[in-house]
Amino acid sequence: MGFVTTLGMFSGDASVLTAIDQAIIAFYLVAVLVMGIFFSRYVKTSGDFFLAGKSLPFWAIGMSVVVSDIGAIDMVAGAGSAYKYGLAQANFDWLGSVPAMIIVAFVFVPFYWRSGVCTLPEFLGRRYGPVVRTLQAVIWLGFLVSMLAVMLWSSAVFLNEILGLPTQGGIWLTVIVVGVYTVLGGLTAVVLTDVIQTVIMFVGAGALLLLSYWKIGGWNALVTTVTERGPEFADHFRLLLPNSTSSPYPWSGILFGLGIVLSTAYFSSNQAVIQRVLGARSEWHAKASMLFAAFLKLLVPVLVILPGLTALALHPSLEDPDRAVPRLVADLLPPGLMGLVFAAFFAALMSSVDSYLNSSTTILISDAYRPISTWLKGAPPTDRSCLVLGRGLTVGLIVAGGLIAPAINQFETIYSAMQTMFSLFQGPTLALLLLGVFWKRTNSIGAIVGLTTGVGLSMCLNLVGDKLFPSEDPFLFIAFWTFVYSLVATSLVSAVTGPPNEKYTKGLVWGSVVDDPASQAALRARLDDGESAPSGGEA
Amino acid sequence: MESLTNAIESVLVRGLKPFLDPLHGFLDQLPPAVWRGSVCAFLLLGALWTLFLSKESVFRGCHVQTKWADLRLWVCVLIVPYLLIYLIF
Repeated sequence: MGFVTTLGMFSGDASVLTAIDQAIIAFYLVAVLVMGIFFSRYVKTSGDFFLAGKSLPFWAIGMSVVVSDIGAIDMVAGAGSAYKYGLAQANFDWLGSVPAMIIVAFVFVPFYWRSGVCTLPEFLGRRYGPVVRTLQAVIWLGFLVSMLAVMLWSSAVFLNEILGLPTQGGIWLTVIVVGVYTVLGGLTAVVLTDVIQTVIMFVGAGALLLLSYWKIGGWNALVTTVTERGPEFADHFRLLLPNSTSSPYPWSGILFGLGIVLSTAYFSSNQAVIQRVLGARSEWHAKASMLFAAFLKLLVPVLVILPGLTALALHPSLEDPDRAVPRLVADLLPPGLMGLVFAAFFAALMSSVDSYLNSSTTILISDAYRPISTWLKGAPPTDRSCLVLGRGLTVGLIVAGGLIAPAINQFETIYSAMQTMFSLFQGPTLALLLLGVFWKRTNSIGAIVGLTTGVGLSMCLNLVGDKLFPSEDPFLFIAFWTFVYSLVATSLVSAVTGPPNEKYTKGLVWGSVVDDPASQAALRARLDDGESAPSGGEA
Repeated sequence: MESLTNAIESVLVRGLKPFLDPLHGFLDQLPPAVWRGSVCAFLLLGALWTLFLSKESVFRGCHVQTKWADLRLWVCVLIVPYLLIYLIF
């Protein structure tokens, strides 16, 4: 099932939307727009725009991290996967999130916070040099911008199905609503609209789940109905599947590939996550936000995965599993609630669009404009120029996304290739990050060799992986082994080549951050009159 | 493209299969109790290491240092429902 058609699943269901449903959706869009305009009064500096003036509380960041992580496509396709493979799909939000979020809260958040960096490419650039920084910035920008266009197109398809808007109209309506609140309100508007969107998503998805439970007759009836469908459904309520399962989720892949590598790589290097935690009002709020997000993650499979299982009980013969949620929506929801659920889907889309937009702009300013401007003029750019350019780039990016979005429909393979390419970088990037933080001896030659050959190995394994691993889609095993390979390759090459210059390690390695005056100057500049700079501790 | 894939396949599959097949054979034989135990151990270890962090590091940036603001306590609370889920399902 392609991404573009996933949301088009509601086709035909739109006719059941009443005037009250459409009014709820319209009211929601206007409310989000007004919020963005309201928050624009607080944006005076680039720090206000990119880091919300270091004012965000932990609960707002936690909700924003979770809602940005769940796209509308995930809400449909996640339930579809549960329909097909069962409860094992929930591992992505449970085992595939919680240990990583704890590690990020107590290792990477304090590290980013205290070392004064704003993006992962910036950290890797300071640690390994401009080649690695440029490579990482290009990878992240490519991913974020392509996802921006994809989400705009998905919004257009969605609005076309539910409100009958022409696709061009849907694209530009989303561009205007998201563009206005993101350009005017910056990260504050993004995070605080995400809070509203989280509430709407949880209420909408919760209503769908409760009504489907009520129709089936509760948990025991659900389990009995599904498992009695046949032997192929015997494992549908097991989180851990045998190593030899034909599904993509064998327990060993879930533990090693997802739990150790992919989830840690995602939460420690995702610009949307890093930027939000750096916008916290203190280091404690930054750490607490990840733990609060981990609490919320407990509920995500209940709201997103279980509807797929209830659909299996109620409609066992769906040819396309991704129709599970649209079918439940059409069958169960009364007028008013249907509008709320559709608003929840649109909220999920908008939270993804604003995150991609804000993160792309931050990478462009931090990893392109600031270093290039400093190199050309011999001094860092002014705060005013960063703010003006940041707003200009936000407008430029979303308009460009709106212009290329219609073409996405014809280039679905590009999107798939981009997604695959991105997943190929996860293992090697995590290896570089861990070695960079914890081993002073890691040098730039080792990093470049580890990254490039690790990505090369990922590509090769992606071609022949089904002949080496038990699963039909062995991306979890590929992520784990390329991580191990890059860890070994980077260590070996670093060990046999010379130690890195002190400028690449001072203040950038675990145990040295607080002793480095440059890092602490950057930290104080970021904190302004907030908390005092740290005076000791693990970092 | 096909010849490239064949070349990669002949090198990688021939080189890695003798190492990976016995490993997956071993993993295939492990009983469900071992899968469950491994995952629960991973969850526990992923949480309990935070108990060894210094109080100063955990509370840094917190102006009211009560026991409810101790993030180590919340990690312990957080991990309980996840452990129960993996023990039951």
